[in-house]
Amino acid sequence: MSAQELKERYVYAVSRLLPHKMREDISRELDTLIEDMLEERCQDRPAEEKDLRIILVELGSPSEMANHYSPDKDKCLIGPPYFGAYKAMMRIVFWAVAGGMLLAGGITMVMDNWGATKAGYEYILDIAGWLGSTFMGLMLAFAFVTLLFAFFQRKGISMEDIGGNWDALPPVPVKQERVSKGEAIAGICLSVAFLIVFLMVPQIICVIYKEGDQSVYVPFLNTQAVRSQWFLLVGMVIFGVGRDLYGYFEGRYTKRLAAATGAADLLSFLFLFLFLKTPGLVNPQVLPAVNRVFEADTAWIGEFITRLPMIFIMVMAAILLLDFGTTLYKALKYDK
Amino acid sequence: MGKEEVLSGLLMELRRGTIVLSVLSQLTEPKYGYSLVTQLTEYGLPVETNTLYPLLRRLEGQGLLTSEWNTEESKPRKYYCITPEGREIYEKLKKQWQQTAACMERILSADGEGLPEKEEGLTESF
Repeated sequence: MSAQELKERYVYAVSRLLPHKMREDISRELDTLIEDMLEERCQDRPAEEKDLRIILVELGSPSEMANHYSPDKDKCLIGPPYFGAYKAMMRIVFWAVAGGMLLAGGITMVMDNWGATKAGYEYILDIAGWLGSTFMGLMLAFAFVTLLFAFFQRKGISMEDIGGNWDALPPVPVKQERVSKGEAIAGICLSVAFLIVFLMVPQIICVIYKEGDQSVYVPFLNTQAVRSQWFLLVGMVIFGVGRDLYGYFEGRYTKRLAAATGAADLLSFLFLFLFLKTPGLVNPQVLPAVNRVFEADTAWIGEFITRLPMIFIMVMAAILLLDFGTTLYKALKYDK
Repeated sequence: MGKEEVLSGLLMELRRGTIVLSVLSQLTEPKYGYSLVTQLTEYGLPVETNTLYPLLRRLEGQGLLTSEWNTEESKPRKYYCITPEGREIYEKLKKQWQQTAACMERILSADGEGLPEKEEGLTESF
């Protein structure tokens, strides 16, 4: 290979590792630099390929050379200011997703195998399927967190909110004032489990009656209708998980946390309301099934089943109000 | 990690901050990268080309240097020159360097014999 060709190859190899807008300029500069170095090395004699090889060793491999040109923020995906929080978040996500999947997997397996007689290998297949889903779930969650932190790094978004004002450093919380980390993780686990169970096996909420020797399962909810509204369920879980994560990182009951809880609860309620208003959500076969269970065609049962979504909405409203009220009470008491 | 490796890492850290100051000091007139490498080597401060060229671009990006291609010579060359903002920064860095050098001189000459009296003008922190 001639010295000229080797030089061209080196410059090209460096330039292709550089951001597009820098390429042409750096290539030209590098080309002249190599020429200058060759000239100084060879003085009046013509440059040979071995001279160029010595110079290239001095300059470093193309990736080393290109690395010198990269701005510091491009040298790593998630750098020092974010890495600690990233690791902490990955830990929470691991336990929350693994816990949620374990719970959901347990519920699903119990429901699927209730009274069923399966061969041994089928149980092994079930477990393998569940392990596969857990792995995929973890990968998705890790990818999401990694992308989020990479975005913070790229945009230089600060994770500190004191802004140089030392008085803004929060006081050390007393015990009652602290948000329990275990509680936050348990909350996330439950949210994840709720989502998986509702999307994968909504039929676990069912009416069971005997017909001869056979047990008949009539799902309370129409599986198709539930799955068509998956985004509302995902939205509810995102608000719930977001609130729990905010509490985890805030570490104490504050007015900000109360406001975030209020907003998350309100949005969750709105999504739940829309979900329960889905046409055809309740399986029409439920009413005859309930009548068979009670062995009577009583009007009040029909009335109860029809009103069940509304009753559920009211119960959830009470739970969310209680959640918001408790957080607000603690915030007003401790965050002065 | 061997002693040599530790020493080389520490020396690199020690030199890192001096390169920017040296480069700024030499660019009151336009110069191209390799002439700067040669000049600094003559002063006894050799700088690796793969460190200097990216550094010049970084300083240009920070507004401390300006650059222009000269295509009138036998080879096209990019010339760098200090900007007014760069000069202002350079003067401050130079002052800080002189203070630091004086402090280090006293610290190293005291060689564990206790701290000398504090002097005026050396209170600026890093």
